Amino acid sequence: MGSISSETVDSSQAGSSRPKSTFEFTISSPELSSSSKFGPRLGHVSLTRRDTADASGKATSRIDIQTPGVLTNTSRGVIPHLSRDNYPSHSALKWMNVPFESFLEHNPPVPTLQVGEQPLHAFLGFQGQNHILSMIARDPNEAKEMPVNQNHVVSVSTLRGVRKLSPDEWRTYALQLHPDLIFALADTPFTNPPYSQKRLMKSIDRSAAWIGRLFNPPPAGAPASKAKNANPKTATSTAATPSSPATNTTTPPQPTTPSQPLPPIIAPLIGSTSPRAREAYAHALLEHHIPGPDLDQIRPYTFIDQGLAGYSVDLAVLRCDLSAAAASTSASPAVTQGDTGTDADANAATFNTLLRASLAPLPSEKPRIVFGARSPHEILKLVRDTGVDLFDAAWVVEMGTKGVALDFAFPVRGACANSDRTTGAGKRPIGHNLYATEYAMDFAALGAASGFVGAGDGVAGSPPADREVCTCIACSPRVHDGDRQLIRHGFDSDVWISPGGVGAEDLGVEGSGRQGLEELEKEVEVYRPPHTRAYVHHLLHTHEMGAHAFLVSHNIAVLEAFLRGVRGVLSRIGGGDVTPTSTPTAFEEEVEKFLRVYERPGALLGEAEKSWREVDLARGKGRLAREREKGDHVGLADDLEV
Amino acid sequence: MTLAHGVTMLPTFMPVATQAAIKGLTAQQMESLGVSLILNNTYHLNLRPGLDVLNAAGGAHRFQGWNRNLLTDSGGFQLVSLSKFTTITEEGALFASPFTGEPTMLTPEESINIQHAIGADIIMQLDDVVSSLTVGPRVEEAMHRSIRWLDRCIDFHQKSGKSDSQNLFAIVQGGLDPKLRDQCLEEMISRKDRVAGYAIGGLSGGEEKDVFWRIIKQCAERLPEDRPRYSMGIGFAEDLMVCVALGVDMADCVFPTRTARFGVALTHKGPLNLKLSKHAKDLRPIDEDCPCPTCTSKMSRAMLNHVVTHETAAAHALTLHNVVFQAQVMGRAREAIIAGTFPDYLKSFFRDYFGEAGYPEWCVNALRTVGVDLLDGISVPVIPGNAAKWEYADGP
Repeated sequence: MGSISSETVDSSQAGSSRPKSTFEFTISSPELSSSSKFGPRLGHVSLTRRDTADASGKATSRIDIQTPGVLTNTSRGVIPHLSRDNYPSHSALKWMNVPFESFLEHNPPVPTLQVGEQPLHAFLGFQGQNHILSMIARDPNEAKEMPVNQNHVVSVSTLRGVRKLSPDEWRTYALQLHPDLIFALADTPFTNPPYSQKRLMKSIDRSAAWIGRLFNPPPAGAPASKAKNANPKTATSTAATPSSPATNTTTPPQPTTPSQPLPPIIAPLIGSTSPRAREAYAHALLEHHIPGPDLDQIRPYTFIDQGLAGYSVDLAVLRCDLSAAAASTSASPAVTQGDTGTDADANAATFNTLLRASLAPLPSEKPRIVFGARSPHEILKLVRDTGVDLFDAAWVVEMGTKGVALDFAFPVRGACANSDRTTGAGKRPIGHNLYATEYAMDFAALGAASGFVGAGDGVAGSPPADREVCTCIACSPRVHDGDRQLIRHGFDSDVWISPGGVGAEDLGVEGSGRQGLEELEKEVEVYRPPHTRAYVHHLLHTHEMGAHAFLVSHNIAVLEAFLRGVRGVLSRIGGGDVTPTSTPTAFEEEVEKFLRVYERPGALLGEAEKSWREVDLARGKGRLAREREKGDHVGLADDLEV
Repeated sequence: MTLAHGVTMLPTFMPVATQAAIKGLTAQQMESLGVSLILNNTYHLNLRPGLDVLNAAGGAHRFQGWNRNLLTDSGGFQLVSLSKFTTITEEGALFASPFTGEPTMLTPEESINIQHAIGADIIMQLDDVVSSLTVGPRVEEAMHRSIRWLDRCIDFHQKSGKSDSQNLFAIVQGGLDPKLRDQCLEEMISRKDRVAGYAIGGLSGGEEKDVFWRIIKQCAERLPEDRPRYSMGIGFAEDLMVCVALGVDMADCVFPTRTARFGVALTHKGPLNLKLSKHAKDLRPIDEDCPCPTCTSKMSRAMLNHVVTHETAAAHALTLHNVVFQAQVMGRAREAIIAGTFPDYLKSFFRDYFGEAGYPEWCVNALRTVGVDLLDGISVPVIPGNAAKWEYADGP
């Protein structure tokens, strides 16, 4: 149905309009969504980067993400539980979304001190040629109560307390840090839902005005915004004088010209649980006269949506607001944070209604991002019923943090070993609470029940149809014997002869010289057998952090494989090579089958959380003090290392 | 040193993987760091996952996916340090099971049996451990018992048929008393044909550094040239340097990995406590020249300050770095020894690591006995006592 693109212009080269990077979203399966604006759709996001150091402008790198696809949120700037050296092992880690609020603990935020072409990439250790980085003010999965937002500031949460962030500051940080995309600030209240119509109307006005503020800062000499008066903390100690604009800046004021150096902007779609409010906000983005900012502010555009590269919706806050709304109108707790039973069905239907209210007035060719989906079930429904393009991975990271190894695939693969573990309702669980004692002697790979094997399991070349290689660091541990990257320490042995793995000599290259060895190393990667459920069970019970590294890595890989499966089924329908088994309803059928076969994760996560808490209490921080209190020294011995 | 799982160059430092994992890191990451020998704790593995699981998995190597060399201790040290209920009898160590509270006996035979199941390339005799601060007849009793237990361990090990793939080390005891140490050395060296290496035990328990190095020197001088010498529980860089100079080949300690989790990065210029706010805006990596993944990714001190103690990924980053730091310190020592420049290396190490802060007096004294004068041609303060270097909030 076409594509949209947004460009970031290199502001450092005055007079040059050469785009520094281009963000594009293309829907490749128009026929899928022709019947409805909200049918499932295939597409891809691409970011093309030109090397500005290369004078010819020919050196480019391009990052492609097929959709429906995944993006990953960072926590304090890191992917939870994964160290940087493990990032390259994860093909799913292409788009990282960076909640910026934790960096507001310092003023100015420390990443803004970083110099270079891509300061945010450099500070966080991501590579421009491999990673798309977006900046978002708040963690989209955090819905806890917060102080009120004001006309010109949003309240954000840091470890040192609440900070205020103004749209002008947000713009400044984006200009300094060169992320590939930014999410606009939105006035989402986290105070006391449900919210009145008046409050929602105020949200709409403010959010629209704040996007306008991103397009164009206030002209120099304009009165200081209320932000400064409202909260002295936001004022910088350095540049700002009492009469200067509130947003401090180490960057000179940007001219109000069409060639904006700001990265492409994604707008969070707001309006809480009111379809009318959500619709009203969508209209505000399309109107030529918007209530908040004056029209000058959105130049060069005639309405806000022209300046937007995509949309996002936060389900975490919606869940919160829905449950408050339900509690205020009836006694039944209709909506839960979890994902259980009929409540979840009600949730899914409500989400669909609310998302459609937001998206219906807006152009359909821009990417739709949903934060806070919490199960494959929700993801499938949002793809099928709402045409969502990108999902965040926060829920699979949380699963890994709580000790769950995910084990599901789309389309459903035939019963494999261990699929006899079924839940009470006779359904298959989507994963394993590896704290459970039944895994102590289970030497299967983490995702064996749904057909995941390791790259070292001997089927890597052409796995049978009911098998798929899981590329995570748990299932496919890469052998480093003879690795050129291997760190050498002074005088070192050149070979580690390993009976299990394959060393350089075993590959028959001993006499072929360094050149041959290097070529071979490039081509051959050798893997050990997968780390087992029993090992991760052991690590969980001994409170070892490595357990979570394995689980997060694995869970992200399973989510990516799941979405790859979704794309696979969708492409069979719309790709032109329609096979006899593929009908336009094949995707719907596979979705129904998945929903029928797999249990929702509510109970699984609940059990894992309980075990996690028990082990954490027995072994986590403050354990010694707790045991001293109890006067109980038996059991203390278990975890101490000496 | 060639073992069943490959070659490990000596002298070396062994990172400690108490529970069958270097905290937070995968076996593959350890491989990539160029580490070829790690340590597991028998006491812990016997409790969790337990021998049933290890046997079913095919040993600890397979269980943790580690295909290089592995050493296990005997479990004796943890019995004493972790359980106040442990009673030592001639038969073995009687202790209350941490799970059931039931009296359980760990005999020398059982310790070796467990270590056979774990399958480590180097296994340690069960010794009668007393704190290095203990004085009186208990120390002598423990020394003699350790010799008797060594004989039982040797017998059991040789009859098991595992002596081809697993190497038994003796542990020299005798507290801080040179006479007892001499007796123990005498006895244990006489069993040289049946032991693959020797450890120096009963140190690093809070004794005076001045006593510590003299015992190390005494043991290292007498232990046979053709057997590796392993100094247990040594991990501070200056301790390692002195021990290597005195003739030690192997050492282990949880210090580098534990201190990483508390936010401390070890460098050739002394430790950096990254929790301190003075690092909050410092965009330099920990060490420009360090080959570890953390430093080569240019992860800044500021970024580390932002995440230490909040994100496990920070612990991983610092653990990666500290493991590489220890390996570099030892690797450079190997290089210098081969080049015949070890005395110069010692001098440059101390100059970089301590610099103006002053050299520990005990290091100066210890190295003088092997003909290295750290103070030769340099004027720095000499600090009595332990004098380990640390970075405090109000430090320089």
